[in-house]
Amino acid sequence: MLSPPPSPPAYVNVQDVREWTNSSLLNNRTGYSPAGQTGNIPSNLSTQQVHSLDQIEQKTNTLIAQIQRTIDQKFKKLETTLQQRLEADRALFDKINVTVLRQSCALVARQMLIFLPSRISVDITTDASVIYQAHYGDLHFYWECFFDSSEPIPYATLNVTHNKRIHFSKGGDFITIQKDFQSIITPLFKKAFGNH
Amino acid sequence: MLYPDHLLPKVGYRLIEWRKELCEHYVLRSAPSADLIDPDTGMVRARFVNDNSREQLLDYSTNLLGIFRPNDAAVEWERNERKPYYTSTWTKAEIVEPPKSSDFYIREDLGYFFYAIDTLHQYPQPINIARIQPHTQAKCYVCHTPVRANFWHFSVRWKIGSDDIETTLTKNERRALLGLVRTFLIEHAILELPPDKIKEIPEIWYK
Repeated sequence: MLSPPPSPPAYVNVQDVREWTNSSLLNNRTGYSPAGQTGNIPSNLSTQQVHSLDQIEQKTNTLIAQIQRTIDQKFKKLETTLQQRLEADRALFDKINVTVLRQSCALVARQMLIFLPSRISVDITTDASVIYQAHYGDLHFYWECFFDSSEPIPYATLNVTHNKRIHFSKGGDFITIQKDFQSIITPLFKKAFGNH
Repeated sequence: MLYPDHLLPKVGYRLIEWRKELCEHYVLRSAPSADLIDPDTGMVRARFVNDNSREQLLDYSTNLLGIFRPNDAAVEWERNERKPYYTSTWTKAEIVEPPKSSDFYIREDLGYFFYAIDTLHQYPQPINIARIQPHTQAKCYVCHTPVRANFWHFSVRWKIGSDDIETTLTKNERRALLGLVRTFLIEHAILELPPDKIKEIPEIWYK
């Protein structure tokens, strides 16, 4: 398990996206839509008329299962891509604790996926870092984890752009960055979906 | 095979100084493969933004388009004892010995993308450095850094005040800033540039 690291100071903070309240930032270009107009939800699930609580429950359960399946599929795809990248450039991560790497990357992937990105990808860099990129409507999140054999907890950075302009940028320990990600995306996500 | 003569510095050439007209031009960044685009995002792959080391971002190597054409990015140096000579800084009035055919080869798997100098030059919106508050900002600048085999080599660099990032920031601060820079470079990479966007370089800039 990850344990709390020494916490370096926040570094750059261009503009706090958390101050944003415009729910259109997470519009229907997310991977899913509560109304079912776009994304990965089968159209028959959203347009079908329901006439009883049982039907509503059945439909809801089907929807939840479908979303869970899609998240799982995307997670597996990210894991496979990461594995391929790591094998292709094995030397870069030679001295890195594989357990820490896998655990950290899985956490990033799952956390980005549960907010239903329209696009998500993973790549490695020559600096022994793994970078996840997720698009939520016009918001692009870049979450990068740096691995170093001398550091038990990865250092991470989070950058958020909107229309190519960087609106949030911060580096810190993995746990701090995880909290930042959640504090930015959660209210926007709730607002976007609550409006439907 | 002859080396492209239009890439070599000539005795009468001089450094291209910064001028606002450069903002109408583009620079080319080479990549190790034509397989540039991440199919999952439609954007340039993160690992190709800087394919050697993150520290490259402290002196990001590009080429000014105009006389340098995209196909010139295919020139790759053989790892022989002459490579350091050709890839080192050219100084004014220095006569360059043209490379031999054994010094270089033409890559078949050719990848590149572009940046508008205007975009780079305006980057970033002010960035506050928490540790060096209150007024210090990291700024990007584009400068002409010709090498012996390529007069059109340009560097993109970041500074804090008058100091290079390398000497100013701690390891983690550098990681944080360079993470931001990488994000910026991914977001602003131009994958296809129409030929009419490539403008001529006025001779008075360098002669």
